[in-house]
Amino acid sequence: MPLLVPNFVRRMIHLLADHDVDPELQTLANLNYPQDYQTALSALMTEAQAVAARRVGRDVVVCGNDLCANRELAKNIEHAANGSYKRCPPHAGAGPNALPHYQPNPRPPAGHTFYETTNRKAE
Amino acid sequence: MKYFTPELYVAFNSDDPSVADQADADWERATADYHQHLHKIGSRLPDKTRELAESTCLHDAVYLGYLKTPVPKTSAELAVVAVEQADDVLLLIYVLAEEPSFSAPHRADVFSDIAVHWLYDEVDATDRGVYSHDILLSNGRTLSVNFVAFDMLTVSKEKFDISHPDRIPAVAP
Repeated sequence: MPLLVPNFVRRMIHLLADHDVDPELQTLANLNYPQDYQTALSALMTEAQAVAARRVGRDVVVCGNDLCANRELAKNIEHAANGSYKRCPPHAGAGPNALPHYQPNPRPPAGHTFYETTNRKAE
Repeated sequence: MKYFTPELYVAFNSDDPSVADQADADWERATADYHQHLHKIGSRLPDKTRELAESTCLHDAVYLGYLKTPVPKTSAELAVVAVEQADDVLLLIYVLAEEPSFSAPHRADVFSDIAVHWLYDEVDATDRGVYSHDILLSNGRTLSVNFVAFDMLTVSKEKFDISHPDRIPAVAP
């Protein structure tokens, strides 16, 4: 399972809180990953699953400390899901935890592929 | 735009990782500088304008259009900017200090005339109780509004026929 590759764990992707969670993903989410990634409302998923989630308009977040790797993975997910994309920096009015993201260009479809940076982390 | 400039937005979208990394750092600095700026002018802003500056996020809202109209039997003029966000249409209503302006479009691949939406905005306070609101749109244009008073009306999208996005229907009192 690719999620168990340590390097990938650092760039794991999790669904935002208000979405249904696949039981298989929930099982993976319950594994003992590092505390930084034990956000109670998240579920881990593979890149393919993230693409599938984006195709139905769900938000996904790429997590980890490597800005470049996160950005590249987020781009690949959005491109595979929706084709044409653009990258948006965090909005000043959206709070200190707002994340940069990719989104379809032009819209629709809905949703975002967020990614963490060195300073900004998903909660 | 003084902080979240079209040039910085274009750099943020660069395919060159070194340019994108630099733009990411520059954007963080611009955000910190803007927050410091808001802190400095915050006490001079009327409540609704401060709310617009500090806690209203219209990023990604669909830009429906803009109109300007005189206030009957006065010398004042109103500007209304209409945007669609989630299930609502938001009407940003300004009592104008001067004629609003649109910049020439910034030319870059990341900007497009298709499905124009709100990207980033900045609020400032000039002298004599005049405030400014700059809005960068996804077509690369910046709308600049100088105003003396501001309010925002939120109306359910069901009240509008938004199949005609170039028209803002009247809102019942």
